[in-house]
Amino acid sequence: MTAPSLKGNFSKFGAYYRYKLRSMRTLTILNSIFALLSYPLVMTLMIFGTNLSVKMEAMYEIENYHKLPEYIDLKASAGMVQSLAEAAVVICFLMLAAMFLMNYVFISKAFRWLYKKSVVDMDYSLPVSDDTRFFGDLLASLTGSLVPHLGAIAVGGGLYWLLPFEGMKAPSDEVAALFGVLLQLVFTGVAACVMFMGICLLVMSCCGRVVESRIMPFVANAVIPIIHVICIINLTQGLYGYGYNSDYEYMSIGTTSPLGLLFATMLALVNAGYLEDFFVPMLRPEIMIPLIIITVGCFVGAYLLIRFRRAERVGSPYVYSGFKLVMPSVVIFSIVALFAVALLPSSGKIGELRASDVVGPIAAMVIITFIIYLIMELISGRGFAKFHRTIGRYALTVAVSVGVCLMLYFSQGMGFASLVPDVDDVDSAEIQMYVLGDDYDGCPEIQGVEMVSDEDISRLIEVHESLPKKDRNLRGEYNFNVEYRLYGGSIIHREYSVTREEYIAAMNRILTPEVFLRDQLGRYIGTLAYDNTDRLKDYRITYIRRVDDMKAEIEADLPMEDLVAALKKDAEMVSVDLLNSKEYENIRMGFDVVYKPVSGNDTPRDPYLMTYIDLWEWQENTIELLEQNGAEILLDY
Amino acid sequence: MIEIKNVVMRFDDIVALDGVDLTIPEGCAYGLLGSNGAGKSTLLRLLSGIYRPYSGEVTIDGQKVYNNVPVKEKVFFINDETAQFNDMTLGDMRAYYKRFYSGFSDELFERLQKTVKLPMDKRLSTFSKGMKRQAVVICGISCRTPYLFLDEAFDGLDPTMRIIVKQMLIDAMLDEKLTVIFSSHNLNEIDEFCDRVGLMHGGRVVFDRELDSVKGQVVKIQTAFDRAVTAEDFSGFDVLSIEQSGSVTNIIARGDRDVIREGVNALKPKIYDEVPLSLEEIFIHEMEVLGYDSSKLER
Repeated sequence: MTAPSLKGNFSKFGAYYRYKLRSMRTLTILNSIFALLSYPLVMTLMIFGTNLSVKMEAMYEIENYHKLPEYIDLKASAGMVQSLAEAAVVICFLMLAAMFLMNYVFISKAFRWLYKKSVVDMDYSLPVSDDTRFFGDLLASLTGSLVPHLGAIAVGGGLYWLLPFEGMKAPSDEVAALFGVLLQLVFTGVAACVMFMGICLLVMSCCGRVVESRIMPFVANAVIPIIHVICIINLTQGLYGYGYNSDYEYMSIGTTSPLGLLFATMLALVNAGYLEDFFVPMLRPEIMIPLIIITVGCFVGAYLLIRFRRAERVGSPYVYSGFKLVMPSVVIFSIVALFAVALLPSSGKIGELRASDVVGPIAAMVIITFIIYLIMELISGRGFAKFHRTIGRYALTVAVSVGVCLMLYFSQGMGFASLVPDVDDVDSAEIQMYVLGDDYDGCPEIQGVEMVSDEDISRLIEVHESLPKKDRNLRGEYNFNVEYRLYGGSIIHREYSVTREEYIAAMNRILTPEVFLRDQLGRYIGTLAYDNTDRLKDYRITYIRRVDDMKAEIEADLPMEDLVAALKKDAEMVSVDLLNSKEYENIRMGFDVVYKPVSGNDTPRDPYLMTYIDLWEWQENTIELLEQNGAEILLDY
Repeated sequence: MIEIKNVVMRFDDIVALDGVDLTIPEGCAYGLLGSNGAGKSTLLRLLSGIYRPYSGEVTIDGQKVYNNVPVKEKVFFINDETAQFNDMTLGDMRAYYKRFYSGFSDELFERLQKTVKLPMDKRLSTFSKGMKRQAVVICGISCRTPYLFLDEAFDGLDPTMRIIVKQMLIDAMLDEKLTVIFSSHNLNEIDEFCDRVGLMHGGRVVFDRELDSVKGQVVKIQTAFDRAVTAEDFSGFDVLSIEQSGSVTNIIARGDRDVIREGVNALKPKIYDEVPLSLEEIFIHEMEVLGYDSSKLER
């Protein structure tokens, strides 16, 4: 007998795929209605609304524009469109949520032979191969789910091109920012749907009953991000020294579950604030690659589980016995970990715990986990026939969960929390400088001082290693907060509580004039100022303006090396005490310094060659130089 | 030809089939008998490619069945479930099976459908149980597969419906060279339908013989003796049971008929009468020998 060929494996694929599509015709039509009421509806109203706004703004320069009948009509129309748009946004979100849930419906209908005994005979006795069945069902599900979704995106895009869009006359960076947001949301929506489908299929491949297949996929999708968040809480609250790193954490949350992806996308967009440029925070390799790997991994995992499983339970088509341990264990661990975070002291001294403090929470944990475990046993249909085994499995699960939490706790995350990187691995580092307590009243602060040179990073690491480690929850202490960005893109973030004296001593060691000025100038000019000083003479400052008044811009003709020289001279005075000195209250102001390379010809102004410098009153040499060149230095900001 | 070699099938800690060996020749109408939980349905599902055996080999015409499309095209499985087709009309079922069975005959389908007068455009959820079963049988016969497996397919049907469905199958067996495996608790149906039978119990095949051979080997004798007799009074053949009903002694024996006749007559009975034994009676007694409670078999 010859081995089955690829052609043989997929010999009836077309017929099977068409049959499955036909069987899901109603669902596909329903999904298409949801899709049309999402992106296209919002896009249409957005275009009309923007058109009206642009027309209205064009009338602002006319005297008494608000009394003009044309303006009044426009305003009335804009009001109606605004109202419709608000409703459309709500409808759009509901439709997107419905489309998201439809992925489960498609998968559960297509793969019903995984969990519904009554159809197993009908589907499995058909003369089709396992591969045809799996891929035919998968492709039909993806078709029914994604084609309407992508079609709606295409329709929305088509409306943009076909309908007159006055918004194009808006500044291009604003339009670019808007479409960046739209592209990001569209990508997130599609990727979340596909990932949701993958996780549902993976979980369903282990379910043996209809009720399991209805509940467990949703439990899995909810538990994954919850576990993530709990792990982050565990690390940041439970492991002394480990610092929260929004980039790393939301990246890990955003790539491992659809809800996490949705959350991470919204968080990234909200954190970005007002956007002035094309910004797609999730469309970068460090997010996309793990996202694709995990999504594909879910489908591959489901395929392998289905392909090689054996009938393990009478009355259920195929189910893995091990599944009865996996899902409950994950859920139980997440609950136990939460209690561990709340109970275990961050000082590391278990002896500090009093019995009266822990008995109640431990009892609550046992009761909650036991009830949830029983419910999961009931869902899986195992019932209470072998109740002693259920008790045994539960006790083992809790014991292992507690053991893992204690192991991580006592080992400080297996040493992870106290990890100090090697200077050769660090691309740059950023130290946060905070206001130093009550002696300094309302003083300004520097945040995020960046270091890029090996010498500065090495000095920072020495200071970091020398710091004593104490309980960071003690009141009245200060935070030593450092973030290392490694070559390769990963980030290590550490926070420690230190005394005021230790903090000032550490900062004074770290905050050299060069460190201060590199941070003040930014990476590009900072590198010029210290590493490529020969090239400074190639640059001149052609415009100076205040950040608070973009229109107060003056032309200048100031050599860059003169400005840098003045800044360097001023920087010699810098110290932590100076930066937090009461004497220099409310003196901060900023300047945009636009510069261009010296070419001998008139070169158009390049908006990318700008820098923002945050000046201090004590930088007298710099202030004098700028005033000599016509800049207006105001002390009130 | 169907060959099952040392097949074991486990579900968790339950052994449904425990080393089954069976050969079913082509063109045979095979009756699969056994108590509840004997493994009949499991065996049929293995033969239909629904399950993959835990160990051993299941082949049809020399090829393994599981995940083998050309072999599965030769097989049609009719089980006792009817809910799986509830969302389909008869027309949908026709299209469904026609897609996957290249030998599907529209002519045969239409002829059978007209015979039983089933509506083409109504969902099967509106059909009675008997009508659903007819619909599946029509599809199965129309696929014209050389192997047809029926797992308690007549359970729950009224006598008229049973006759109709049975006649459809008999006609198909006469027209095509079908190999049919028929699993049932109803021994009368096996008796009238099959020419070879196998008895399963506890996941094993207890015996596998031609039906005539089974009947020929077991005989029921009505006699009367002057005294009470026991099995020890007879030698040379197996006494399956002795029942005393007044002065009449009913003996069920297995062995060569001449030897049995000689052995009984040696005790000089007042009357001697050989009574035809139904298959049901034969198997009830066989199961009792195995220690199984005969009241569990359908009468």
